[in-house]
Amino acid sequence: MPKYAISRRGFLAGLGVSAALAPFVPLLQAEGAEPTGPKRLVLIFTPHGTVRDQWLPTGTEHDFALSPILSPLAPLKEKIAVIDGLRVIADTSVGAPHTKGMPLLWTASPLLEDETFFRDDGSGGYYYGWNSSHSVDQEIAAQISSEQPYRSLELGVRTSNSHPGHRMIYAGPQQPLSPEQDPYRLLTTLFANGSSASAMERLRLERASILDLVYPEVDRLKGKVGQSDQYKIEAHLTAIRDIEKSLEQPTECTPPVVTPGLTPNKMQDIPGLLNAQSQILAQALACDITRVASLQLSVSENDQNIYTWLGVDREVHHLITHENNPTAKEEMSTIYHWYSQQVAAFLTMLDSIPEGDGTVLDNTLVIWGSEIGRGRDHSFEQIPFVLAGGAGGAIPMGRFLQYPGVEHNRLLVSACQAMGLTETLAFGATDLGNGPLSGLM
Amino acid sequence: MGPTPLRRMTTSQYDHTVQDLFQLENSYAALLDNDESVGPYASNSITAVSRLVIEKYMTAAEQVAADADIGALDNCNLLTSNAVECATEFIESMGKRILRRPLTKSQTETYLGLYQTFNDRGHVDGLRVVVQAMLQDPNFLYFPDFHLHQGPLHGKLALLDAHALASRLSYFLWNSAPDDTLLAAAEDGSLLKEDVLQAQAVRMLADPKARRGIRRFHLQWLGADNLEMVAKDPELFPNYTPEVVAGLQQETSDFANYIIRHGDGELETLLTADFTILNPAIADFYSVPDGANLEPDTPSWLDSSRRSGILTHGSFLASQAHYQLSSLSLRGKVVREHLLCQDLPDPPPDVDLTLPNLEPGATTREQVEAHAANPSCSGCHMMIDPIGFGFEEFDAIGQYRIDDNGSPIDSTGQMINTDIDGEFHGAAQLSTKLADSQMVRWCFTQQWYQFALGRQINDHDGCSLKAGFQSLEKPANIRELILTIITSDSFRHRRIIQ
Repeated sequence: MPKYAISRRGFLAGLGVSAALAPFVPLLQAEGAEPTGPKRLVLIFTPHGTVRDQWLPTGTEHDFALSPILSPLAPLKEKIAVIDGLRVIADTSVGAPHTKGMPLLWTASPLLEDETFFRDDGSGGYYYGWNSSHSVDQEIAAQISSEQPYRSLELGVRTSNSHPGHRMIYAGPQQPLSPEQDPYRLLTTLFANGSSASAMERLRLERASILDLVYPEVDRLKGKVGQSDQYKIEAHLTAIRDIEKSLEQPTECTPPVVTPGLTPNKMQDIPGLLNAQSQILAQALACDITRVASLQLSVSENDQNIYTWLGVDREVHHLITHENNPTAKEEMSTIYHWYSQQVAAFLTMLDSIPEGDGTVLDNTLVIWGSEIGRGRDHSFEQIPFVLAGGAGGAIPMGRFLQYPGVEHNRLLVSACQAMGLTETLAFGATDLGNGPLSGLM
Repeated sequence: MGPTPLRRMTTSQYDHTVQDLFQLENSYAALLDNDESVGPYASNSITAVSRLVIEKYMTAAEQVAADADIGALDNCNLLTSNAVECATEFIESMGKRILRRPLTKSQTETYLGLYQTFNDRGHVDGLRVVVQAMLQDPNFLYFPDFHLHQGPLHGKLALLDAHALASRLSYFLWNSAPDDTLLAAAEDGSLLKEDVLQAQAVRMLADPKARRGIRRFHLQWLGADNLEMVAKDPELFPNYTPEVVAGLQQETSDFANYIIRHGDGELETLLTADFTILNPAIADFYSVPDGANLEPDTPSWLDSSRRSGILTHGSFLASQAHYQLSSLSLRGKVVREHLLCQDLPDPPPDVDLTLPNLEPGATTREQVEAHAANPSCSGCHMMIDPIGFGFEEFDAIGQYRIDDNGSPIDSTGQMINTDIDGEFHGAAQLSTKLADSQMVRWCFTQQWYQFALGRQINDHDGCSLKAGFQSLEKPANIRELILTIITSDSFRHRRIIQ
């Protein structure tokens, strides 16, 4: 059993508390207190920035009022930190804004300048490729999650096909990690749902023997394919080794009860799917299946969803962001308010799982961001970031911080340091500066 | 010719392959990770696999092996032969089909070892585990372009070996694995001869499995392959059901199939035919009179003043449109990019898409014209909107309309920067112009090559492209183009990249 696993009963009691009824839990861990559980990292993505004047809190660092868009986070106010003003250094990357914004968000590295894709980006570039480097969660996962059954988990809702504008997590150059969009498949793979112990054991033996057979066959291709394809062979071998490792350490974890009958990829099912994915992720973290995860809603190029369940049923989200009129602004605010509700629901799930003196949320660093700040002109300034949990007190919460014009690499470095990579001073190929965000930790 | 990266099969190729190998009808595509694309065409050629991708191959293989009637594929009689002999025979015969080339002695031994580990619950169950493993073998998942007959020649060019060529051929035409006949032509090496290759291609085009390649090309070319993902307002279009969406895709697939495999094969017919191939799901969509012919592979004649050719199909018109409104810009853009191969820049970042408040009853065309008068927009929009005007007789789901917002439709369009410049009225005249264009023929050639090779084509493919283009000299015959591609240098060779 994993070291920090909690009892099934304790967990279920925790999850039974609905988001609306979750009690306010005061901050238990003062700065510098001993952590009482493992540190975890969760990256959350929602598309197309925000409406800043409806998003920006008012007040000072410790005495602030949440904005209309962020108001659903009010019950968790002491466990979040709103980070305003950061910019993504994007002008050095080829690719159109919505395309490069998504990979830049967590890798802070540009797209490759090759001929994989062809499209004028409006600033003189015509060709672009996949991303050139790994994302920050993978850097952290290599340090803190290598013993877990999964080094990291990528979950998504309606994340479309494999394209740079649809993928945000990278294991390395040209190695996007696609999110799993099907909650029911996750239930089966993560929680060994619905099979008898003997059937599972037999399947495990088959899988292990087959991977044993396949591995040298893949390895043999190294000598057959050219130098430029070697990374594909290496990635395939790594994937097999990772699966083999988790076959050796089967998890015992009760699956969450997820709404049945949802169709992955169906637009009208987005609210249900997002809720199911949030529940699964919360349980996977609680059971220590992984310590690093991400949750991606839709894509950055472009969010083609119609938010009918919010009454925003005139046009797709992306096209609304390119309208400059009061109706569009109201519609966008409605969408972004709903995003806050969904993030709040996920955080509440984490917060209702007790761990040590606090909750799973307290030991987790959640970073919620978007690929741009403002959709209308694809502004890479003022990206709306919200942190939560604080990684066991590493980053004090209950704050509103403003860093006008500071590059977001500083936040990624802060994340590395908060997660224990204290030597990290720079992250991403775009990094010009040094160290973490001042005054954050 | 351009370099060929190591490619993995696509989800639809996986689906057809396992369906053909094991006589299955289920779809397994949803069990796999999504594909990447080269241009409009699915091809897993650049990104490396992740754990999830491999995990999904693992669970899909388990499902396929469980669904397949393995016993029926095993021709051995256990009463007269011993189990190891039977298993060896199965591994050799099924292995050749699944891995698309004869197994080496060591491969056979390895698989036999796996069989012997797992035959404790019976002979067939042991074979099932073998199948499960073969479906995760990299020689199954990746295309074997690294198997070379000769080369590298002339610096970096190498001739594919016969089995690699057989795979290319069958995945191009059938979107699936080679059959036994094709494998036999690979095994005796005769497939490397141009006349045998040509004869195999002709044979395979005549096989109903060729519908799949034709379907994949045309739906992706028109951007209509993910039509089910394009949302439409259910209040405005209550009859636009998932069945209609599937029926519209089927129509385009059947129509192209009919022309290429049964009809005159001409590009002009594809673009301007006054018939289509209907199916029951879309009879109401097209307001087909009762008693109309809905038989498969049978042409139905339409009112050619309204519908003519593939660009007036609902699949194209609905996929290139908005939730509530038609989109003349999106439709014009596909014509520019996929029929004329002229790429367009993205809109400027500060574009404001608010449609101007014109008087009530203003048409989409009038709103867009007022909107695109903005100098920062008009540069590109004058390239696409005047083409799109020709499609304004069709609403957001591609149904014919006689008015827009209560006002009459003006479908007068204008073509510029092409070899067919000038004014036209409606989609039918636009399609006739396109059928007359050398640029369209050249572009169509490029599109087919990109689809066939699953990679970017570049200047190095020039000779092959030129041969393809010549096969489209009037009367431009798509069947000839397909055969020319198959016997071209670009199809039979691979550029080595180090």
